[in-house]
Amino acid sequence: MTNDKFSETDNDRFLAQLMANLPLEKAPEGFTSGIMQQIQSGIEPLADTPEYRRQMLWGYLSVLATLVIVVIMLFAQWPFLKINLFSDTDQLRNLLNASLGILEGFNSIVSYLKDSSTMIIIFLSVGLLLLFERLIRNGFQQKRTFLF
Amino acid sequence: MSQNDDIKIIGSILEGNTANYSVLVDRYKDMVFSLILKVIRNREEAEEAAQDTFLKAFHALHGFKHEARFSTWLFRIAYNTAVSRTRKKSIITQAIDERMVENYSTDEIRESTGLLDEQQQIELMNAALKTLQKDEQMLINLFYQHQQSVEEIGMITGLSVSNVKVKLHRIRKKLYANMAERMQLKFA
Repeated sequence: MTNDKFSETDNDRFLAQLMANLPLEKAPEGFTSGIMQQIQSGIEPLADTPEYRRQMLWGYLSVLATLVIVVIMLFAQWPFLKINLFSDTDQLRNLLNASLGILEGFNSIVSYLKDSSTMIIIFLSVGLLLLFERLIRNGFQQKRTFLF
Repeated sequence: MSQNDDIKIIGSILEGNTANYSVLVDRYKDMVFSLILKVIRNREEAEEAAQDTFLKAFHALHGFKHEARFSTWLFRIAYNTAVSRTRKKSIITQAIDERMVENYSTDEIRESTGLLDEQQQIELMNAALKTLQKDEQMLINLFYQHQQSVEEIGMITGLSVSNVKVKLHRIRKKLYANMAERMQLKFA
């Protein structure tokens, strides 16, 4: 016993001796193979290696790029569509009203969506973000990224 | 089983030799299972928790910084897994009569247990251990059976070193008190 002074008294040596005689509970048969099967069918551990750090750099770059795109989409003027999300309060109010109208029926929302370039931009943006994330993910060897 | 050997194996696993993890599982499975069983006290649930422990350890292996022994790091995961499972399902433990704690002579116990054969000593010790609270069982088990130091137990449980020392001291007293009670009944 290499533990501290607590085990050095006669009484503790006696207790340690008794405890040493206790048999250790055995893990069930096939325990190791069960774990290895689960591991082999699942995810590899993420190693803290140069390769892993390189992939993480790509990950951080993708997050940064996504944030830049989101900021541009939110704050940029869209002259070709004549939309500025933050200054065009009427459109936002209409969108809110249409969303609340979901309780009365979907017709008002569907008709609003037909005419709403704001919603088209939002859907397009989300689609682009998902596509961008997918493309970036191809650069990862691991099956799981730190994003999802 | 040396710490250097563990480190070499971990290095090879992180380089992609996943199959080498089975060496670590084989090496520590009984210790982890035994430790968890002290807390959960149900073999099936303890087996699940032990599996969880090794899977969590595998996925977090890159985070093992060699600041402690691998066994200490693994026991910390096992401890947290076991504790979180028992939080979901409280397990009733038999509390020892506090009046008994001071009322014994360790010399008498040592003498009388000397009259028992090894199997009887094991039964006596097991019976006394069962009267401890689950966290007390875990502490005493880590200290005596898994050779973890007071400092390492502090790392595993999140307790301060002085707190671990106080708890171990109290647990020993409880164990002696319980053994004294059982020996009195046996030789009465």
